[in-house]
Amino acid sequence: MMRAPSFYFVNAWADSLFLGLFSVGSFFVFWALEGKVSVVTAMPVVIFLLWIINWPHFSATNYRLYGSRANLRQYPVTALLVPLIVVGAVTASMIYPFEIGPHFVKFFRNWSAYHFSAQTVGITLLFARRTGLTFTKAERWALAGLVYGCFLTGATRAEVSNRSLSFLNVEYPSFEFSPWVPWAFMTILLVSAIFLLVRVVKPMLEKEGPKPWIVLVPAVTHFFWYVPGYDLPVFRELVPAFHSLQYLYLAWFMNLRESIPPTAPVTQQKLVTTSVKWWGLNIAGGLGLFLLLPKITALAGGPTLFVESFVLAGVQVHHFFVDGVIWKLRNQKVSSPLMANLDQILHPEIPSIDAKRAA
Amino acid sequence: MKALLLLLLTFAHADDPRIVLRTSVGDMVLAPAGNFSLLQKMVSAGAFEKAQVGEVDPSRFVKVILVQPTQLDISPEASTKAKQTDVWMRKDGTLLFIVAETTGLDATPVARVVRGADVLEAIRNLPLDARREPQRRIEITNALFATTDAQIESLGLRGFSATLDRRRYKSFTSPTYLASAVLLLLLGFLVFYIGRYRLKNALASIGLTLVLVGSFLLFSGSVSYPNMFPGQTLLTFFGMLATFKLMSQFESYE
Repeated sequence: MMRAPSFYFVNAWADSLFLGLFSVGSFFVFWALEGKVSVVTAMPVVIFLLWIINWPHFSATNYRLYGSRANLRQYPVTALLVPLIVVGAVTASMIYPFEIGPHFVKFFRNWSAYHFSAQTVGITLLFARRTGLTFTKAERWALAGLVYGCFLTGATRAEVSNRSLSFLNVEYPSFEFSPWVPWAFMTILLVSAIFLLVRVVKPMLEKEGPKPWIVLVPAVTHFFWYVPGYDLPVFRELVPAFHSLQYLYLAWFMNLRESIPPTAPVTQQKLVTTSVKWWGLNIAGGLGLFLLLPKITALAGGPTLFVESFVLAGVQVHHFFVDGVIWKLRNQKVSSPLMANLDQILHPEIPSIDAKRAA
Repeated sequence: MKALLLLLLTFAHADDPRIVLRTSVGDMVLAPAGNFSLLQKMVSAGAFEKAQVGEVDPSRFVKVILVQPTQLDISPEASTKAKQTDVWMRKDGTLLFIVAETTGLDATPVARVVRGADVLEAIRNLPLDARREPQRRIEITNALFATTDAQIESLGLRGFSATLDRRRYKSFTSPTYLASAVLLLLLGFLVFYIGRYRLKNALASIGLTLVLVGSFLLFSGSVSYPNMFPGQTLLTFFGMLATFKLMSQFESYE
């Protein structure tokens, strides 16, 4: 008898851990240790995660776009024009380090948090599709209200004060929002959460059969990142690593699906070799982007005090931009591989979720 | 991001590293002395965010206390003489800015003030409350790294001032600049509309590029622009988010 495809990429535990349980678990650990662990003492861990998770996740985007001729042909404008836009912004920032630079950095910082939210919504909708859960238009709005509400609550809390903010050596202005602004966004997120509980979670509980809890994991995780996690400085430092971990998990799977032909069975050794090679390349790519590129720019005559800030802001803006283009789920070439699972790569006779549903 | 700063610092190998400490009443430049790398680590970890001047003992030191005290593995050098303008650190991360020669401190030297001693002297002489803290709250507004005098000059150091202008950044706010940004934005929308809905080709992405540039220029000019109407900052913020959202339409023509 043909085996039914699982709606997990690997299994319930692996998917839950990489997409959220690591984050939520860490939150409770740092909450319990509050006052005992400071950012200074946690710094070696954060640096280690930069090397093996954060930076490779930026490199993985470039690997996906520039490492495949098919993708270059599909997104020629993104591949060619976006780097030019970014180089232009970085150059303008270096020429006007006080007039343009701080605003470029502020632009990038806000885009970063927005990008985290867009990823959370994207992963939620991906799993909804995998599990067969359909969101109505109102429910999609509520999901967006919850996820973006979390980000907006955190982001506006950080900009209530009239203190200037900083990224590496660059100071940038605060929006100086009124104190009621974060509360307004908090209200939106709470109303959206209640709506989702009534319209999505309650029917899910009442339905017989396996409960697709995994759909809720990204949004709940996102809530921990921006709302209770905002008050835990060590946890806040780790949020980019948790976001990167989610990304790497899906990008790793996508790479496996695309680089291993779906016609013949593959060994577990082949899976491991392909995965390690991909991760190793991205670690090297991350080092190139975050250590080498600023150095080269400085050698080329950039203002040394700010060069790292502007180049690294540029690298990240490039990532946000490209990600928004190459991971569109309405694109069949993107969504189709993401409807498979690891079991199916190892055993090609197992149908994909879409194929099984169609049958 | 803090870890990134520390890592970049590790790779920087500066011969003559400096830390520019900005306070709400003026700036100070700190040079290496004693365990300077510890201070660098603390700064890069953001340990001095929202730190403020605490107890002032005009015959010994000015204390800077952290919002989140930490536990550092350092050995106090109580027998060593602390000299004027030295900076010492306690195990909990508190900084002691020495204003007169003293001994018996339960701390270790980490730096010395090489510029901005007038700021330190002015803080020392401020009126104090019953807890021997300045009557007016004095905050550490930022701590930056520099390696050359030219870099320090480029930051625009400021001496003591009770009414310091806290803004270190500027904006192009001339009407011509802002009008050009608005025109670019409108042109971008027009090109995007034609490319996306009429021609269904790459012209849409060119339009979005113009929208992005126009929106950024408008944003950079309006952030520091005086508020002309209520909710101007919120509108700017939402405009920025709408730009991010719009960019996901890049290279999408169907």
